[in-house]
Amino acid sequence: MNQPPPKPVPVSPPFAAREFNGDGMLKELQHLRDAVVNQKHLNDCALAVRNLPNKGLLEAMMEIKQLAMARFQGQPELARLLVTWAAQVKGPRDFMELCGHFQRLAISSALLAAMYRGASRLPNAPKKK
Amino acid sequence: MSPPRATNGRRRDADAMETMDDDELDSDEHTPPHQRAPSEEELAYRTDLITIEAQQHLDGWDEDDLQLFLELLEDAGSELQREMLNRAVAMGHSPTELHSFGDSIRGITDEQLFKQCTPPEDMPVRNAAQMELRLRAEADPFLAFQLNRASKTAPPPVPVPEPKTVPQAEVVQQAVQQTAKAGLKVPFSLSQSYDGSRPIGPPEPTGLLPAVQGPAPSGHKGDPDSVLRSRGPQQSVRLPAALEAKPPPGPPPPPAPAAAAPTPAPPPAAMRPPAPGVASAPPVASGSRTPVGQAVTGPSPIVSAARPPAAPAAAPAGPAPAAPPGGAAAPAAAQAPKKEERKGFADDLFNDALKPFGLALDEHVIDDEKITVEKVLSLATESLLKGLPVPVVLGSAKGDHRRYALMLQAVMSPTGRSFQVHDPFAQETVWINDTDLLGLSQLGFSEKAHRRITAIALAKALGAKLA
Repeated sequence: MNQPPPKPVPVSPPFAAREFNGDGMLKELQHLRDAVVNQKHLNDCALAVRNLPNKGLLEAMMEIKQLAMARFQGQPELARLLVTWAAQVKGPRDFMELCGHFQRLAISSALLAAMYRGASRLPNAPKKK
Repeated sequence: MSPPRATNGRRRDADAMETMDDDELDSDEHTPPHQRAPSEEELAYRTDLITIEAQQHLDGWDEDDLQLFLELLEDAGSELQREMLNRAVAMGHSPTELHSFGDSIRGITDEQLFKQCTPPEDMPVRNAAQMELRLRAEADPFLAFQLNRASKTAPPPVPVPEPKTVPQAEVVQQAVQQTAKAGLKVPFSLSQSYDGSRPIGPPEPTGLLPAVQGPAPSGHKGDPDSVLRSRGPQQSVRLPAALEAKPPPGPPPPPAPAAAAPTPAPPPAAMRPPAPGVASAPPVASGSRTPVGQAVTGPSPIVSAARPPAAPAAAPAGPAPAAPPGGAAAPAAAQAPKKEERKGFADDLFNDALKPFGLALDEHVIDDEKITVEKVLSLATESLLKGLPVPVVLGSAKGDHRRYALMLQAVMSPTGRSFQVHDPFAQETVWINDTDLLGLSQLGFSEKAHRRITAIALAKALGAKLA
Protein backbone atom coordinates (compact mmCIF):
# COMPACT_ATOMS: atom_id res chain seq x y z
CA MET A 1 0.00 0.00 0.00
CA ASN A 2 1.83 3.00 -1.25
CA GLN A 3 1.06 6.25 0.43
CA PRO A 4 1.55 9.44 -1.50
CA PRO A 5 4.67 11.28 -0.43
CA PRO A 6 3.96 13.96 2.14
CA LYS A 7 3.73 17.44 0.80
CA PRO A 8 6.77 19.54 1.60
CA VAL A 9 5.92 21.96 4.36
CA PRO A 10 6.42 25.51 3.11
CA VAL A 11 8.70 27.88 4.93
CA SER A 12 6.86 30.05 7.45
CA PRO A 13 6.39 33.69 6.53
CA PRO A 14 9.05 35.07 8.91
CA PHE A 15 11.66 32.87 7.29
CA ALA A 16 10.39 33.42 3.77
CA ALA A 17 10.49 37.20 4.06
CA ARG A 18 12.65 38.82 1.44
CA GLU A 19 14.67 40.78 3.95
CA PHE A 20 15.21 37.90 6.35
CA ASN A 21 18.79 37.55 5.19
CA GLY A 22 19.06 41.10 3.93
CA ASP A 23 18.11 44.29 5.68
CA GLY A 24 16.71 42.38 8.61
CA MET A 25 19.96 40.57 9.13
CA LEU A 26 21.93 43.80 8.92
CA LYS A 27 19.73 45.36 11.58
CA GLU A 28 20.27 42.37 13.81
CA LEU A 29 23.97 42.69 13.23
CA GLN A 30 23.90 46.34 14.18
CA HIS A 31 21.91 45.52 17.28
CA LEU A 32 24.40 42.86 18.29
CA ARG A 33 27.28 45.24 17.74
CA ASP A 34 25.60 47.81 19.93
CA ALA A 35 25.30 45.14 22.58
CA VAL A 36 29.02 44.44 22.26
CA VAL A 37 28.58 40.92 21.01
CA ASN A 38 31.89 40.23 19.35
CA GLN A 39 32.80 38.21 16.32
CA LYS A 40 33.95 35.25 18.32
CA HIS A 41 30.55 34.82 19.86
CA LEU A 42 28.89 35.03 16.49
CA ASN A 43 31.27 32.43 15.11
CA ASP A 44 30.64 30.16 18.07
CA CYS A 45 26.94 30.52 17.60
CA ALA A 46 27.13 29.81 13.86
CA LEU A 47 29.28 26.76 14.41
CA ALA A 48 27.01 25.53 17.18
CA VAL A 49 23.92 25.65 15.00
CA ARG A 50 25.74 24.26 11.98
CA ASN A 51 25.19 20.63 12.87
CA LEU A 52 21.77 20.97 14.39
CA PRO A 53 19.81 20.25 11.21
CA ASN A 54 21.14 16.71 11.32
CA LYS A 55 19.23 16.08 14.51
CA GLY A 56 15.56 15.77 15.20
CA LEU A 57 13.63 18.98 15.43
CA LEU A 58 12.69 18.66 19.07
CA GLU A 59 16.18 17.73 20.09
CA ALA A 60 17.61 20.58 18.09
CA MET A 61 15.21 23.06 19.65
CA MET A 62 16.24 21.85 23.08
CA GLU A 63 19.84 22.41 22.14
CA ILE A 64 19.10 25.92 20.97
CA LYS A 65 17.47 26.62 24.29
CA GLN A 66 20.51 25.21 26.01
CA LEU A 67 22.76 27.39 23.89
CA ALA A 68 20.79 30.47 24.76
CA MET A 69 20.59 29.70 28.46
CA ALA A 70 24.04 28.32 29.07
CA ARG A 71 26.66 29.04 26.47
CA PHE A 72 25.48 32.50 25.50
CA GLN A 73 24.20 33.51 28.88
CA GLY A 74 26.81 36.23 28.93
CA GLN A 75 25.56 37.66 25.64
CA PRO A 76 21.90 38.20 26.37
CA GLU A 77 21.21 39.89 23.06
CA LEU A 78 22.55 36.96 21.11
CA ALA A 79 20.63 34.57 23.34
CA ARG A 80 17.50 36.62 22.85
CA LEU A 81 17.95 36.54 19.10
CA LEU A 82 18.33 32.78 19.17
CA VAL A 83 15.23 32.33 21.28
CA THR A 84 13.21 34.83 19.27
CA TRP A 85 13.86 33.08 15.98
CA ALA A 86 13.53 29.66 17.53
CA ALA A 87 10.05 30.63 18.66
CA GLN A 88 9.08 31.18 15.04
CA VAL A 89 10.14 27.74 13.92
CA LYS A 90 7.18 25.67 12.82
CA GLY A 91 8.85 22.86 10.95
CA PRO A 92 12.08 21.36 9.71
CA ARG A 93 12.49 23.78 6.84
CA ASP A 94 12.05 26.74 9.14
CA PHE A 95 14.71 25.27 11.29
CA MET A 96 17.12 24.93 8.39
CA GLU A 97 16.47 28.55 7.55
CA LEU A 98 17.18 29.53 11.13
CA CYS A 99 20.52 27.72 11.11
CA GLY A 100 21.45 29.25 7.76
CA HIS A 101 20.51 32.68 9.07
CA PHE A 102 22.87 32.52 12.01
CA GLN A 103 25.65 31.29 9.79
CA ARG A 104 25.07 34.12 7.32
CA LEU A 105 25.00 36.53 10.21
CA ALA A 106 28.42 35.44 11.41
CA ILE A 107 29.96 35.25 7.95
CA SER A 108 28.59 38.63 6.91
CA SER A 109 29.88 40.20 10.08
CA ALA A 110 33.32 38.69 9.55
CA LEU A 111 33.45 39.81 5.93
CA LEU A 112 32.28 43.32 6.74
CA ALA A 113 34.97 43.65 9.36
CA ALA A 114 37.56 42.48 6.84
CA MET A 115 36.24 45.02 4.35
CA TYR A 116 36.70 47.85 6.79
CA ARG A 117 40.24 46.78 7.40
CA GLY A 118 41.01 46.23 3.73
CA ALA A 119 39.33 49.33 2.38
CA SER A 120 42.51 51.34 2.29
CA ARG A 121 44.19 48.71 0.16
CA LEU A 122 41.99 49.50 -2.78
CA PRO A 123 43.91 51.61 -5.28
CA ASN A 124 41.22 54.20 -5.75
CA ALA A 125 39.76 54.18 -2.29
CA PRO A 126 38.44 57.62 -1.39
CA LYS A 127 40.76 59.50 0.92
CA LYS A 128 39.63 59.93 4.47
CA LYS A 129 38.88 63.51 5.33
CA MET B 1 -15.03 32.18 65.74
CA SER B 2 -13.91 35.35 64.13
CA PRO B 3 -13.83 35.48 60.35
CA PRO B 4 -10.44 35.51 58.69
CA ARG B 5 -9.07 38.96 58.34
CA ALA B 6 -9.17 40.23 54.82
CA THR B 7 -6.15 42.18 53.75
CA ASN B 8 -7.60 43.86 50.72
CA GLY B 9 -4.14 44.07 49.26
CA ARG B 10 -2.64 45.71 52.32
CA ARG B 11 -0.13 44.46 54.75
CA ARG B 12 -1.35 41.78 57.09
CA ASP B 13 -0.05 43.67 60.09
CA ALA B 14 -2.10 46.65 59.18
CA ASP B 15 -3.78 46.46 62.57
CA ALA B 16 -0.53 47.71 63.96
CA MET B 17 -1.21 50.89 62.08
CA GLU B 18 -4.46 51.54 63.84
CA THR B 19 -2.78 54.10 65.97
CA MET B 20 -2.18 56.25 62.94
CA ASP B 21 -4.61 59.01 62.32
CA ASP B 22 -6.16 57.57 59.27
CA ASP B 23 -9.84 57.12 59.66
CA GLU B 24 -10.27 55.75 56.23
CA LEU B 25 -7.68 53.11 56.82
CA ASP B 26 -9.30 52.18 60.08
CA SER B 27 -12.68 51.94 58.54
CA ASP B 28 -11.26 49.75 55.80
CA GLU B 29 -9.53 47.46 58.19
CA HIS B 30 -12.56 47.01 60.33
CA THR B 31 -14.95 46.40 57.52
CA PRO B 32 -15.97 42.78 57.68
CA PRO B 33 -14.95 40.92 54.56
CA HIS B 34 -17.50 39.94 52.04
CA GLN B 35 -18.19 36.29 52.42
CA ARG B 36 -18.94 34.96 49.01
CA ALA B 37 -19.14 31.31 48.30
CA PRO B 38 -16.64 30.46 45.60
CA SER B 39 -18.08 29.09 42.45
CA GLU B 40 -17.48 25.53 41.39
CA GLU B 41 -15.09 26.70 38.74
CA GLU B 42 -13.11 28.76 41.24
CA LEU B 43 -12.88 25.84 43.60
CA ALA B 44 -11.69 23.60 40.82
CA TYR B 45 -9.12 26.17 39.87
CA ARG B 46 -7.89 26.58 43.44
CA THR B 47 -7.40 22.89 43.87
CA ASP B 48 -5.87 22.26 40.45
CA LEU B 49 -2.23 22.51 41.36
CA ILE B 50 -1.06 21.95 37.82
CA THR B 51 -3.07 24.86 36.54
CA ILE B 52 -1.82 27.04 39.34
CA GLU B 53 1.74 26.09 38.58
CA ALA B 54 1.21 26.61 34.88
CA GLN B 55 -0.31 29.99 35.61
CA GLN B 56 2.77 30.97 37.58
CA HIS B 57 4.92 30.21 34.57
CA LEU B 58 2.55 31.94 32.19
CA ASP B 59 2.75 35.07 34.31
CA GLY B 60 6.37 35.36 33.31
CA TRP B 61 5.74 35.08 29.59
CA ASP B 62 5.65 37.90 27.10
CA GLU B 63 2.38 39.10 25.72
CA ASP B 64 3.19 37.68 22.30
CA ASP B 65 4.08 34.30 23.68
CA LEU B 66 0.88 34.22 25.68
CA GLN B 67 -1.13 35.05 22.63
CA LEU B 68 0.58 32.35 20.64
CA PHE B 69 0.03 29.88 23.44
CA LEU B 70 -3.66 30.68 23.48
CA GLU B 71 -3.73 30.00 19.76
CA LEU B 72 -1.96 26.75 20.42
CA LEU B 73 -4.67 25.78 22.86
CA GLU B 74 -7.32 26.75 20.38
CA ASP B 75 -5.68 24.68 17.68
CA ALA B 76 -5.37 21.65 19.93
CA GLY B 77 -7.50 18.81 18.67
CA SER B 78 -8.86 17.56 21.99
CA GLU B 79 -9.11 18.23 25.69
CA LEU B 80 -6.33 15.75 26.30
CA GLN B 81 -4.02 17.70 24.04
CA ARG B 82 -4.84 20.88 25.95
CA GLU B 83 -4.20 19.11 29.20
CA MET B 84 -0.83 17.90 27.97
CA LEU B 85 0.07 21.41 26.89
CA ASN B 86 -1.01 22.70 30.27
CA ARG B 87 1.16 20.15 32.04
CA ALA B 88 4.10 20.97 29.82
CA VAL B 89 3.73 24.63 30.76
CA ALA B 90 3.58 23.66 34.43
CA MET B 91 6.86 21.87 34.00
CA GLY B 92 8.44 25.13 32.93
CA HIS B 93 9.01 24.54 29.24
CA SER B 94 9.61 27.54 27.04
CA PRO B 95 7.12 28.89 24.50
CA THR B 96 9.27 27.49 21.71
CA GLU B 97 9.21 24.02 23.15
CA LEU B 98 5.50 24.31 23.73
CA HIS B 99 4.98 25.21 20.10
CA SER B 100 7.11 22.39 18.96
CA PHE B 101 5.28 20.00 21.26
CA GLY B 102 1.89 21.32 20.25
CA ASP B 103 2.71 20.93 16.57
CA SER B 104 3.93 17.40 17.17
CA ILE B 105 0.88 16.15 19.00
CA ARG B 106 -1.78 17.93 17.02
CA GLY B 107 -2.28 15.24 14.46
CA ILE B 108 -2.44 12.20 16.69
CA THR B 109 -5.32 10.50 18.43
CA ASP B 110 -5.92 10.71 22.15
CA GLU B 111 -5.00 7.09 22.61
CA GLN B 112 -1.66 7.53 20.89
CA LEU B 113 -1.09 10.78 22.69
CA PHE B 114 -1.66 9.16 26.05
CA LYS B 115 0.77 6.38 25.17
CA GLN B 116 3.41 8.75 23.90
CA CYS B 117 3.17 11.07 26.87
CA THR B 118 3.51 8.22 29.33
CA PRO B 119 7.02 7.07 30.14
CA PRO B 120 8.07 3.83 28.48
CA GLU B 121 7.32 0.82 30.62
CA ASP B 122 10.81 -0.56 30.27
CA MET B 123 12.38 2.61 31.56
CA PRO B 124 15.17 1.61 33.94
CA VAL B 125 14.85 2.73 37.55
CA ARG B 126 17.90 1.11 39.02
CA ASN B 127 19.55 4.17 40.47
CA ALA B 128 18.54 7.54 41.78
CA ALA B 129 19.16 9.39 38.53
CA GLN B 130 17.08 6.91 36.58
CA MET B 131 14.34 7.10 39.13
CA GLU B 132 14.37 10.86 39.03
CA LEU B 133 14.13 10.84 35.26
CA ARG B 134 11.26 8.40 35.45
CA LEU B 135 9.39 10.55 37.93
CA ARG B 136 10.00 13.62 35.87
CA ALA B 137 8.72 11.84 32.81
CA GLU B 138 5.61 10.88 34.75
CA ALA B 139 4.92 14.51 35.43
CA ASP B 140 6.21 15.98 32.21
CA PRO B 141 4.41 14.88 29.05
CA PHE B 142 6.95 16.64 26.87
CA LEU B 143 9.82 14.69 28.38
CA ALA B 144 7.89 11.45 28.14
CA PHE B 145 7.07 12.25 24.53
CA GLN B 146 10.73 12.74 23.77
CA LEU B 147 11.71 9.56 25.58
CA ASN B 148 9.13 7.60 23.68
CA ARG B 149 10.28 8.98 20.38
CA ALA B 150 13.83 8.12 21.18
CA SER B 151 12.95 4.71 22.45
CA LYS B 152 13.07 1.82 20.04
CA THR B 153 9.99 0.38 21.57
CA ALA B 154 7.99 3.41 20.75
CA PRO B 155 4.55 2.86 19.27
CA PRO B 156 4.26 2.74 15.50
CA PRO B 157 5.12 5.99 13.80
CA VAL B 158 2.45 8.56 13.93
CA PRO B 159 1.69 10.82 11.02
CA VAL B 160 3.80 13.63 12.37
CA PRO B 161 6.14 15.19 9.84
CA GLU B 162 9.54 13.88 10.79
CA PRO B 163 12.49 16.20 10.45
CA LYS B 164 14.79 14.77 7.88
CA THR B 165 18.08 15.68 6.36
CA VAL B 166 17.62 16.55 2.77
CA PRO B 167 20.48 15.97 0.36
CA GLN B 168 22.04 19.06 -1.10
CA ALA B 169 21.06 18.32 -4.66
CA GLU B 170 17.44 17.91 -3.67
CA VAL B 171 17.43 21.14 -1.72
CA VAL B 172 18.91 23.07 -4.60
CA GLN B 173 16.43 21.51 -6.96
CA GLN B 174 13.50 22.39 -4.75
CA ALA B 175 14.82 25.84 -4.15
CA VAL B 176 15.17 26.57 -7.82
CA GLN B 177 11.72 25.28 -8.58
CA GLN B 178 10.13 27.30 -5.85
CA THR B 179 12.05 30.39 -6.75
CA ALA B 180 11.05 30.09 -10.32
CA LYS B 181 7.43 29.75 -9.28
CA ALA B 182 7.20 32.35 -6.61
CA GLY B 183 10.07 34.69 -7.23
CA LEU B 184 11.19 34.23 -3.67
CA LYS B 185 14.65 33.76 -2.37
CA VAL B 186 15.90 30.23 -2.35
CA PRO B 187 15.98 28.82 1.15
CA PHE B 188 19.17 26.93 1.50
CA SER B 189 21.03 25.98 4.56
CA LEU B 190 24.68 26.75 4.47
CA SER B 191 25.28 23.84 6.74
CA GLN B 192 24.38 21.47 3.98
CA SER B 193 26.94 22.72 1.58
CA TYR B 194 29.59 24.13 3.84
CA ASP B 195 29.95 21.63 6.58
CA GLY B 196 33.64 22.26 6.78
CA SER B 197 34.54 18.80 5.60
CA ARG B 198 34.49 19.58 1.94
CA PRO B 199 34.96 22.56 -0.30
CA ILE B 200 32.18 24.21 -2.11
CA GLY B 201 31.38 21.79 -4.83
CA PRO B 202 30.90 22.37 -8.48
CA PRO B 203 27.50 23.51 -9.48
CA GLU B 204 24.86 20.90 -9.57
CA PRO B 205 23.55 20.40 -13.06
CA THR B 206 20.28 21.91 -12.10
CA GLY B 207 20.00 24.65 -14.64
CA LEU B 208 20.29 26.93 -11.66
CA LEU B 209 20.65 30.14 -13.50
CA PRO B 210 18.58 31.23 -16.38
CA ALA B 211 20.69 31.29 -19.48
CA VAL B 212 18.67 34.04 -20.99
CA GLN B 213 17.97 37.11 -19.04
CA GLY B 214 14.53 38.28 -19.61
CA PRO B 215 13.11 41.62 -18.61
CA ALA B 216 14.12 42.81 -15.22
CA PRO B 217 11.88 42.14 -12.27
CA SER B 218 9.54 44.90 -11.50
CA GLY B 219 10.42 45.15 -7.84
CA HIS B 220 13.68 46.94 -8.40
CA LYS B 221 14.25 48.83 -5.22
CA GLY B 222 17.66 50.14 -5.84
CA ASP B 223 16.81 52.54 -8.58
CA PRO B 224 13.14 52.95 -8.91
CA ASP B 225 13.48 55.42 -11.71
CA SER B 226 15.68 53.32 -13.84
CA VAL B 227 14.22 51.85 -16.90
CA LEU B 228 14.66 48.14 -16.50
CA ARG B 229 15.61 47.28 -19.96
CA SER B 230 15.63 43.78 -21.14
CA ARG B 231 18.70 42.55 -22.84
CA GLY B 232 18.76 40.38 -25.80
CA PRO B 233 19.55 36.74 -25.57
CA GLN B 234 22.79 35.52 -24.15
CA GLN B 235 24.84 35.95 -27.30
CA SER B 236 24.10 39.64 -27.25
CA VAL B 237 26.72 40.21 -24.58
CA ARG B 238 29.39 37.98 -25.89
CA LEU B 239 32.69 39.52 -26.68
CA PRO B 240 33.12 40.82 -30.16
CA ALA B 241 35.12 38.49 -32.31
CA ALA B 242 38.04 40.87 -32.46
CA LEU B 243 38.40 40.90 -28.72
CA GLU B 244 37.94 37.20 -28.38
CA ALA B 245 40.74 36.50 -30.76
CA LYS B 246 43.04 39.21 -29.54
CA PRO B 247 44.62 38.25 -26.23
CA PRO B 248 47.68 36.19 -26.93
CA PRO B 249 48.17 33.43 -24.47
CA GLY B 250 51.11 33.99 -22.28
CA PRO B 251 52.50 36.63 -20.06
CA PRO B 252 50.26 38.95 -18.23
CA PRO B 253 51.11 42.36 -19.56
CA PRO B 254 52.56 44.94 -17.24
CA PRO B 255 50.22 47.04 -15.20
CA ALA B 256 48.59 49.89 -16.93
CA PRO B 257 50.87 52.88 -16.58
CA ALA B 258 48.25 55.43 -17.34
CA ALA B 259 46.10 54.21 -14.57
CA ALA B 260 46.87 57.18 -12.38
CA ALA B 261 44.85 59.37 -14.62
CA PRO B 262 41.47 60.15 -13.22
CA THR B 263 38.65 58.15 -14.53
CA PRO B 264 37.08 59.91 -17.41
CA ALA B 265 33.41 60.24 -17.05
CA PRO B 266 31.63 57.85 -19.29
CA PRO B 267 30.04 59.41 -22.27
CA PRO B 268 26.39 60.20 -22.16
CA ALA B 269 24.20 57.27 -22.81
CA ALA B 270 23.26 58.45 -26.22
CA MET B 271 26.91 58.65 -27.26
CA ARG B 272 27.82 55.21 -26.13
CA PRO B 273 28.16 52.60 -28.79
CA PRO B 274 25.35 50.18 -28.97
CA ALA B 275 25.83 46.73 -27.61
CA PRO B 276 26.59 44.12 -30.17
CA GLY B 277 23.73 41.91 -30.92
CA VAL B 278 21.06 44.19 -29.61
CA ALA B 279 20.22 45.89 -32.78
CA SER B 280 16.69 44.62 -32.55
CA ALA B 281 16.21 46.32 -29.23
CA PRO B 282 15.07 49.89 -29.11
CA PRO B 283 18.15 51.94 -29.85
CA VAL B 284 17.67 54.44 -27.09
CA ALA B 285 17.17 52.08 -24.17
CA SER B 286 18.97 48.80 -24.45
CA GLY B 287 21.37 49.85 -27.08
CA SER B 288 22.71 52.72 -25.07
CA ARG B 289 24.54 50.48 -22.69
CA THR B 290 28.20 49.91 -23.11
CA PRO B 291 28.41 46.19 -23.43
CA VAL B 292 30.69 44.18 -21.31
CA GLY B 293 33.95 43.62 -23.06
CA GLN B 294 33.70 46.47 -25.47
CA ALA B 295 34.50 49.55 -23.50
CA VAL B 296 37.69 48.23 -22.05
CA THR B 297 40.61 46.64 -23.67
CA GLY B 298 43.35 46.82 -21.09
CA PRO B 299 45.10 43.90 -19.55
CA SER B 300 44.11 42.39 -16.30
CA PRO B 301 45.75 44.23 -13.44
CA ILE B 302 45.54 41.21 -11.20
CA VAL B 303 49.23 40.87 -10.63
CA SER B 304 49.92 44.48 -9.99
CA ALA B 305 46.88 44.88 -7.85
CA ALA B 306 47.97 42.09 -5.67
CA ARG B 307 50.81 44.07 -4.23
CA PRO B 308 49.72 47.06 -2.32
CA PRO B 309 53.18 48.64 -2.22
CA ALA B 310 53.30 48.78 -5.99
CA ALA B 311 49.84 50.16 -6.26
CA PRO B 312 49.83 53.50 -4.50
CA ALA B 313 51.27 55.84 -7.06
CA ALA B 314 49.98 54.03 -10.06
CA ALA B 315 46.50 53.51 -8.88
CA PRO B 316 44.84 52.25 -11.96
CA ALA B 317 41.86 54.31 -12.69
CA GLY B 318 39.73 54.32 -15.66
CA PRO B 319 39.98 52.31 -18.75
CA ALA B 320 43.54 51.26 -19.31
CA PRO B 321 45.08 51.61 -22.71
CA ALA B 322 45.30 48.67 -24.96
CA ALA B 323 47.89 46.12 -24.08
CA PRO B 324 51.19 46.45 -25.82
CA PRO B 325 51.81 43.90 -28.47
CA GLY B 326 52.91 40.64 -27.03
CA GLY B 327 56.28 40.52 -28.76
CA ALA B 328 57.87 43.32 -26.77
CA ALA B 329 56.90 41.81 -23.48
CA ALA B 330 58.25 38.38 -24.25
CA PRO B 331 61.22 38.46 -21.87
CA ALA B 332 59.09 39.65 -19.07
CA ALA B 333 56.68 36.87 -19.79
CA ALA B 334 59.22 34.25 -18.91
CA GLN B 335 59.54 35.72 -15.45
CA ALA B 336 55.90 36.37 -14.99
CA PRO B 337 54.77 35.56 -11.49
CA LYS B 338 53.10 32.25 -11.11
CA LYS B 339 49.39 32.06 -10.63
CA GLU B 340 49.74 30.74 -7.13
CA GLU B 341 51.32 33.99 -6.06
CA ARG B 342 48.42 36.06 -7.19
CA LYS B 343 46.66 37.86 -4.39
CA GLY B 344 43.76 40.20 -4.41
CA PHE B 345 43.48 43.37 -2.46
CA ALA B 346 42.30 41.84 0.78
CA ASP B 347 42.33 38.11 0.15
CA ASP B 348 44.27 37.50 3.31
CA LEU B 349 41.83 39.47 5.43
CA PHE B 350 38.83 37.67 4.02
CA ASN B 351 40.48 34.31 4.52
CA ASP B 352 41.42 35.13 8.07
CA ALA B 353 37.85 36.15 8.73
CA LEU B 354 36.44 32.96 7.27
CA LYS B 355 38.98 30.58 8.73
CA PRO B 356 36.65 29.51 11.57
CA PHE B 357 34.14 28.37 8.99
CA GLY B 358 36.64 26.42 6.94
CA LEU B 359 36.09 28.68 3.96
CA ALA B 360 38.58 30.44 1.74
CA LEU B 361 38.03 33.13 -0.86
CA ASP B 362 39.96 34.24 -3.90
CA GLU B 363 39.68 37.77 -5.11
CA HIS B 364 39.36 38.22 -8.86
CA VAL B 365 39.73 41.45 -10.72
CA ILE B 366 37.25 41.71 -13.53
CA ASP B 367 39.12 42.34 -16.74
CA ASP B 368 36.18 41.99 -19.08
CA GLU B 369 38.17 39.56 -21.15
CA LYS B 370 38.77 36.36 -19.30
CA ILE B 371 36.77 37.36 -16.29
CA THR B 372 33.59 39.13 -17.18
CA VAL B 373 30.82 40.52 -15.05
CA GLU B 374 28.49 38.02 -16.59
CA LYS B 375 30.58 35.08 -15.50
CA VAL B 376 31.12 36.34 -12.00
CA LEU B 377 27.44 37.11 -11.52
CA SER B 378 26.59 33.51 -12.24
CA LEU B 379 29.14 32.31 -9.74
CA ALA B 380 28.07 34.92 -7.23
CA THR B 381 24.51 33.71 -7.54
CA GLU B 382 25.66 30.19 -6.88
CA SER B 383 27.55 31.29 -3.83
CA LEU B 384 24.66 33.34 -2.48
CA LEU B 385 22.21 30.52 -2.97
CA LYS B 386 24.46 28.38 -0.86
CA GLY B 387 24.43 30.98 1.86
CA LEU B 388 27.81 32.60 1.39
CA PRO B 389 27.74 36.39 0.97
CA VAL B 390 30.06 37.71 -1.70
CA PRO B 391 32.41 40.68 -1.26
CA VAL B 392 32.71 42.84 -4.34
CA VAL B 393 34.59 45.98 -5.25
CA LEU B 394 32.67 48.82 -6.81
CA GLY B 395 34.01 51.43 -9.16
CA SER B 396 33.18 53.47 -12.18
CA ALA B 397 35.04 51.47 -14.78
CA LYS B 398 37.37 48.58 -15.17
CA GLY B 399 40.41 48.99 -12.94
CA ASP B 400 38.77 51.68 -10.86
CA HIS B 401 38.63 49.90 -7.53
CA ARG B 402 36.99 52.29 -5.13
CA ARG B 403 34.99 50.63 -2.45
CA TYR B 404 34.11 47.28 -1.00
CA ALA B 405 30.51 46.15 -0.80
CA LEU B 406 28.88 42.92 0.18
CA MET B 407 26.40 40.99 -1.90
CA LEU B 408 23.93 39.63 0.62
CA GLN B 409 21.47 37.64 -1.37
CA ALA B 410 20.19 36.94 -4.82
CA VAL B 411 16.61 36.64 -5.85
CA MET B 412 15.77 34.85 -9.04
CA SER B 413 12.54 35.13 -10.87
CA PRO B 414 11.48 34.08 -14.31
CA THR B 415 12.21 37.60 -15.47
CA GLY B 416 15.76 37.84 -14.20
CA ARG B 417 17.99 38.10 -11.18
CA SER B 418 18.35 40.77 -8.57
CA PHE B 419 21.16 41.11 -6.10
CA GLN B 420 21.04 42.84 -2.77
CA VAL B 421 24.27 44.73 -2.25
CA HIS B 422 25.26 46.43 0.99
CA ASP B 423 27.73 49.29 1.04
CA PRO B 424 29.01 49.26 4.63
CA PHE B 425 30.77 52.59 4.29
CA ALA B 426 27.75 54.53 3.18
CA GLN B 427 25.40 52.26 5.13
CA GLU B 428 23.32 51.73 2.05
CA THR B 429 21.65 48.57 0.88
CA VAL B 430 20.18 48.37 -2.59
CA TRP B 431 18.69 45.80 -4.86
CA ILE B 432 20.39 45.78 -8.22
CA ASN B 433 19.05 44.13 -11.29
CA ASP B 434 21.56 42.03 -13.19
CA THR B 435 20.84 44.08 -16.27
CA ASP B 436 22.13 47.13 -14.45
CA LEU B 437 25.13 45.24 -13.17
CA LEU B 438 26.01 44.15 -16.68
CA GLY B 439 25.71 47.64 -18.05
CA LEU B 440 27.28 50.84 -16.91
CA SER B 441 24.30 52.66 -15.58
CA GLN B 442 23.78 53.80 -12.02
CA LEU B 443 23.57 51.01 -9.52
CA GLY B 444 21.32 52.83 -7.12
CA PHE B 445 23.91 53.96 -4.60
CA SER B 446 24.06 57.57 -3.58
CA GLU B 447 27.67 57.59 -4.77
CA LYS B 448 27.06 57.88 -8.47
CA ALA B 449 30.58 56.84 -9.39
CA HIS B 450 29.77 53.30 -8.40
CA ARG B 451 28.62 52.00 -11.70
CA ARG B 452 29.91 48.50 -11.82
CA ILE B 453 31.67 45.65 -10.11
CA THR B 454 35.39 45.79 -10.66
CA ALA B 455 36.49 42.84 -8.54
CA ILE B 456 34.88 40.02 -6.66
CA ALA B 457 35.88 37.56 -3.97
CA LEU B 458 34.58 34.07 -4.61
CA ALA B 459 35.01 30.84 -2.73
CA LYS B 460 38.06 29.04 -4.05
CA ALA B 461 36.13 26.22 -5.64
CA LEU B 462 33.88 28.66 -7.45
CA GLY B 463 36.74 30.92 -8.42
CA ALA B 464 38.49 28.01 -10.08
CA LYS B 465 35.75 27.98 -12.65
CA LEU B 466 36.80 31.38 -13.84
CA ALA B 467 40.18 30.11 -14.97
